[in-house]
Amino acid sequence: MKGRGQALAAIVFGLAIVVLAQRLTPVAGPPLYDGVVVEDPYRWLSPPSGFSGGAQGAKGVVPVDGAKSPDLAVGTQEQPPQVQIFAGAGYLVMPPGTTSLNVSIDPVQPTSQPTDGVIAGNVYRISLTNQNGATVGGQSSGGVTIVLRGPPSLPAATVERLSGGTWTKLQTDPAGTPHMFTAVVTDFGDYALVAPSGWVPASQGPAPPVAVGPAAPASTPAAASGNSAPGTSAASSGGSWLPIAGVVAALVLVVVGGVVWLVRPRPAVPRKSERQPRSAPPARVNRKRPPRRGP
Amino acid sequence: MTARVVASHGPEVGRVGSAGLAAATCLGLGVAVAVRWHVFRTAALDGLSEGLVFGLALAAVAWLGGLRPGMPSTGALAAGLGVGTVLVVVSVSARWPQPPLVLGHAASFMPWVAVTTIVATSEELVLRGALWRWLAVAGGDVAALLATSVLFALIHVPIYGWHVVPLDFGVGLVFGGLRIWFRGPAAPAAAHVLADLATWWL
Repeated sequence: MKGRGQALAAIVFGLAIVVLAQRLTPVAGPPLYDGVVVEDPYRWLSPPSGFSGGAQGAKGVVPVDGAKSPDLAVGTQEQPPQVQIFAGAGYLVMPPGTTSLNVSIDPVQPTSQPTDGVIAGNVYRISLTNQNGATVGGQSSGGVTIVLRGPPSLPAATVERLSGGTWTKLQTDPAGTPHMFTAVVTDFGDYALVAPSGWVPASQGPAPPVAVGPAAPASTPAAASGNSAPGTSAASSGGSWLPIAGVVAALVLVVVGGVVWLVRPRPAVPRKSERQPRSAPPARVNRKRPPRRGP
Repeated sequence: MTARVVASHGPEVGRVGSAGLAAATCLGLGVAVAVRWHVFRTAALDGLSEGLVFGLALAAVAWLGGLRPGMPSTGALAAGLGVGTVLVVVSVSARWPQPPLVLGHAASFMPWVAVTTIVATSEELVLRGALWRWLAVAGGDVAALLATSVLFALIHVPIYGWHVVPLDFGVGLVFGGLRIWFRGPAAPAAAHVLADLATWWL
């Protein structure tokens, strides 16, 4: 198979992988993970020195027509939004007689800290009620998701929900752009991104990040133990080199593998001098005209 | 944008020489990716400046790798735009019936378009331009196809994470197929630019 046959096979096989990758991922990503993402600086509710404040909330009223819940897409005002809620049509569980939905997203101070990491960014209180103030939830089969954007330099994080004073992990997936993560939810309340212990956000200005994260209440035991906000941990920067080390290692593997493949032993091909000599070409016949004879 | 490599670097370098040049181009690509990732991680530049630095670094790597692009053919551009449209349609249809994710961009449209175009084109000039050329001389089109597809997936890992590998490997194969068909990076570059520009609305 040469030329255009190879090309066609590559295109068809590649498209099949693209379709599978897009369909099997819980939240489909962009056409390809690439491009230029330009973000507003992360807006903190209680910005540490050198970081931006002014975290935004969002409110909205969505009319309901009939018993089926409508498509819902609400996000905060930052670009990209720091919080988004999505619900496909019919995926919300509404009390009977619901004629409209009130959605609100508010950044709030955390009332407790997670034990498995540090809060990366703000805690957001998400509320979804009907016109009477009755709680609206999501179906357990899925279809309702939230997307949280964290500060820059957040390679990995988990969406967690505060329930009964305890932070609970949710199944979290990357949302397709850097430091954005998504999770399927069935009810609403306080949500945050939780990064591995020791994580610190990258500095966005001349001032170093002395204290990071929404200010924890002083009375919180976790805060008193130093578990509330990431400190200036040197160990945290070591782990963040892992992705680039992996890429460099993979590049080296590709190159070394290619070189090994190129210099692999090959079946001997007889040299030109060792090949069977061709039969000698026929002797050229002298076709010169004989000299004219004289008269 | 035909893939013409300067005459002084022509096929006379041989298979081993071409493999060495491919390795050097890979190294340049790795350095550019590392610089971008460092800038991203430290938030040293805004997104547009970061993209511009990355795109220009890649263009320099392609140039140093011996690529001297010419004028692209209309057929290659049309095919590339068609395949790019297919990628966008696949992405949108995969989300249905979920409402679209709102990405949003904190940038003006035209500067973003310019930088996005530079980055996407430069990636193609390196991967399916200079690097492809040397890999194909060293090991054939299939070796070039597989190697550049793997690299295309890997260079996005530092910023987007390992979950991008299946999708971007598939996209790399598609772009590689266009590269084989049209014998140059113009068609994959057109598809790449279109798919990246679509993220403004997706």
